Amino acid sequence: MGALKGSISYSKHYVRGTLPDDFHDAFVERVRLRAFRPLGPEEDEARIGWCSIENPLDCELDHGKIFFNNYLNLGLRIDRWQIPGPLFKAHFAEAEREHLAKRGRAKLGKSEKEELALRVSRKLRKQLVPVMKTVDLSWNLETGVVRFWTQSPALVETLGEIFDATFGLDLVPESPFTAASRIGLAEVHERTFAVLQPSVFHAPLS
Amino acid sequence: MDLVDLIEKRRFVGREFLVFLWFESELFDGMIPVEGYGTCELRLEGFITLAEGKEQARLKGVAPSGDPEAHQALRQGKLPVQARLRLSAGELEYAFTFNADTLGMAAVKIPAVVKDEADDQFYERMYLVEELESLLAALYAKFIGIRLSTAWDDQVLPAIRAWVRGEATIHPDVYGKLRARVAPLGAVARPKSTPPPAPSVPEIALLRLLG
Repeated sequence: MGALKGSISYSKHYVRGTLPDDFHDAFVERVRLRAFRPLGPEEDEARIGWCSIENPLDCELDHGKIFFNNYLNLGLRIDRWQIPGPLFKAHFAEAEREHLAKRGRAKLGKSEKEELALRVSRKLRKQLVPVMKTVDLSWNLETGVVRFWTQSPALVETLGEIFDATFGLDLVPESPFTAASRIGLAEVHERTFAVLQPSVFHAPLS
Repeated sequence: MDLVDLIEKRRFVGREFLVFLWFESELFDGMIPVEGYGTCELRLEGFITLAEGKEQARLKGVAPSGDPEAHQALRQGKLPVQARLRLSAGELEYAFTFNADTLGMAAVKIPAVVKDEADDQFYERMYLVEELESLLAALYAKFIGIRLSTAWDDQVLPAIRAWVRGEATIHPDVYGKLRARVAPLGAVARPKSTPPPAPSVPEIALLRLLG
């Protein structure tokens, strides 16, 4: 699923505010500041950053990889550690046995358990690769329409936050109100639209 | 009211828009005039979800909006929140899942993409997506024009209510004339920044063969 191929599902947003002069160079610099960096075994939180829309493994971004004529295209890459439950349980049980035997005790305390779980997780992470998720973003720089190629509310929120942090511009989501505003209603119609009350379709004939 | 309030409190307009599309599609047997596009074909097919509060009715089938259960749900005060639509304009045929509360589109089926290169495929896909959005925007502009006019309360809403009850409603010719009198509001134009895809090499060869 994405801008370049696959099934087409997206959420549409409109950019508020104007683009700065010579935004191309500035945007490339800002995107590079938030480009994806590899997730280390010591990191517990997910790692989020921009990548090439054509290749999520390519995070060395330049003009050619970001600008497609009047579009700004990026991939948002999210890596997180996800250790299979049975694998974690087996390694944790082994570590717990060793720990208790060394200390001649029968049971772990709460904080000991947490510390051991973290140590086991970090050890296992060195043998695994993180789970990767990518979402495409296409921004038509002339019309100010930004499409996130996902409809997941959590991903849309994440994308909105990193978009704001990267470009310093607000996004307004598509909605019946936004669409009516985009049509370019006259002031009188805008006022009428703003106070519109829902119609009742199942009411009897008056 | 701030922007967030306006967005949230006007979501019902999207559901009314979907009722309007459903009504027009049945009244005109799918053939709906669209400003700037001529007569387009619009049909609800695959599935439709109607809701009121937390109560939902999800109907599936070839044309579930024509099922008695769908009209029954409307009579119970439920409104469509999601439906699978098929929309054709000239040679372009689309199918998509339409979300009434957000005007969002999912699982969009666009006409076949013919380009091979990734860049070209992107421009072609965007052209087709923007074309679909413009079509939908033209339908929405027409709906808003009618919804904000006096014709809504005087003629259109009573006609939709009769249709909901399964009674004889307005004649398509009469409705067509009424509809033509109400101008769509604002101006809808497809973005010019994404040009239509240039013919591919095999297409150029074919065009040459055809003279």
